[in-house]
Amino acid sequence: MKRNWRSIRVGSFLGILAAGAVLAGGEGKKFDKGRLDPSWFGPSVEFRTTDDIDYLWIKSGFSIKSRKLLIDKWSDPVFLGEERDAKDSAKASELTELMPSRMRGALAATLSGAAEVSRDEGDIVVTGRIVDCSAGSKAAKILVGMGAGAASATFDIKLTDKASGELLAAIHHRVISGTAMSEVDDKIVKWLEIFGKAVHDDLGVAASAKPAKK
Amino acid sequence: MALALLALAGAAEEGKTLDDGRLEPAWFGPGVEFRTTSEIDYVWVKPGFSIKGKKLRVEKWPDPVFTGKDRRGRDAARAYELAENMPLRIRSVLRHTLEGTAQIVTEGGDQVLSGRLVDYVAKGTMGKSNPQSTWDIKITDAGSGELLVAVHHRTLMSLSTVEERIDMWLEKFGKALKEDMAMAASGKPATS
Repeated sequence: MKRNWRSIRVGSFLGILAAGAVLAGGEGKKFDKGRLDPSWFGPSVEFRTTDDIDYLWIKSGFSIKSRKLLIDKWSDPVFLGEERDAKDSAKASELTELMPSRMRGALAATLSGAAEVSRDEGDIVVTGRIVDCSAGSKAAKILVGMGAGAASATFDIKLTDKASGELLAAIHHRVISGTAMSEVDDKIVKWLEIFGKAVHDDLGVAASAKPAKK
Repeated sequence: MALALLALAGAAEEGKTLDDGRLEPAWFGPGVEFRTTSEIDYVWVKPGFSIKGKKLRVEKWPDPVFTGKDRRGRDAARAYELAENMPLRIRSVLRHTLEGTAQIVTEGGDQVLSGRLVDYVAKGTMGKSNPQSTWDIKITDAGSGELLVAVHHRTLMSLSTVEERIDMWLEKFGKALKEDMAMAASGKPATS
């Protein structure tokens, strides 16, 4: 009996160790191979995955109707994925400059009649940042194909209430241009149109989405 | 009877729109009678206009206004991006083409060049769309606000990029400006 008790204690100890190891392993895992840093958005963000938006979270009851969106400048790029070179960094900086005006255009068109969009004022602030970028190679796309030379851009977008600073929506998404038929910029503007339509529908797509797995 | 017919004809004329509604004469002001030329689709120049010895200020462009058809979100995204870049592109090209004739300045100036995008179709996949860009440009007297030059033009982008096409056209526009837009005199009155 005494021996059994000791074996139970040893077994429990090993069990706790194993559980701890699993937990540590889980905590070590990150969303989108580390490109998605939830701390940029704030606490209590439980991302879900959708077909059109890789990672999405919205505050319960979020609505865009009759609101005015202030499209703010984007923060400088922060590379959270694999190491990139100077060409990639330059492309990331270029995109950072272009994204606010592109987003203003896409949202102005898709939210027409539902919400307003401005570069100067608004009650919802929309901002973002590039967290990974590969400029790709057109030559490799043409000569090699099969995904070689693919260009990509991964970015975070958040919508916050201007008055309270409260997070209303969090987005993390990657676009890829894998063939010589398109540029990553073309993919971005197409996605912005899709994003705008989703925003028009109060990002209701989140409701049917699955919880994101690390 | 004759008077009634004349009135009807006048009404029909008023109902006509230029460039399928993309050209909105009200943006330029009253009294503008556009002419069409081979290099600038629609142009009007105040008699006696000259750029020689003047300082020209190029202003920021406002957000695009689609005066023709409604466009998709992807078109608007590109249009807003282009509208932000246009003043810089114009300044760069005109500094070159007007060198020795007029000065391009960022503040003050004798004449003000402003503009806006009125249509844009972005490049589509598999050639499904016909990429194009349409804009208005006007030059006004900095002191009186009087309209001196009115321009409406569209470029089609086939093999070249938007930027290449626009820079090519801006160079032509700069050369025309250098000649005080004399080419407008050979244009035909715009009818559609």
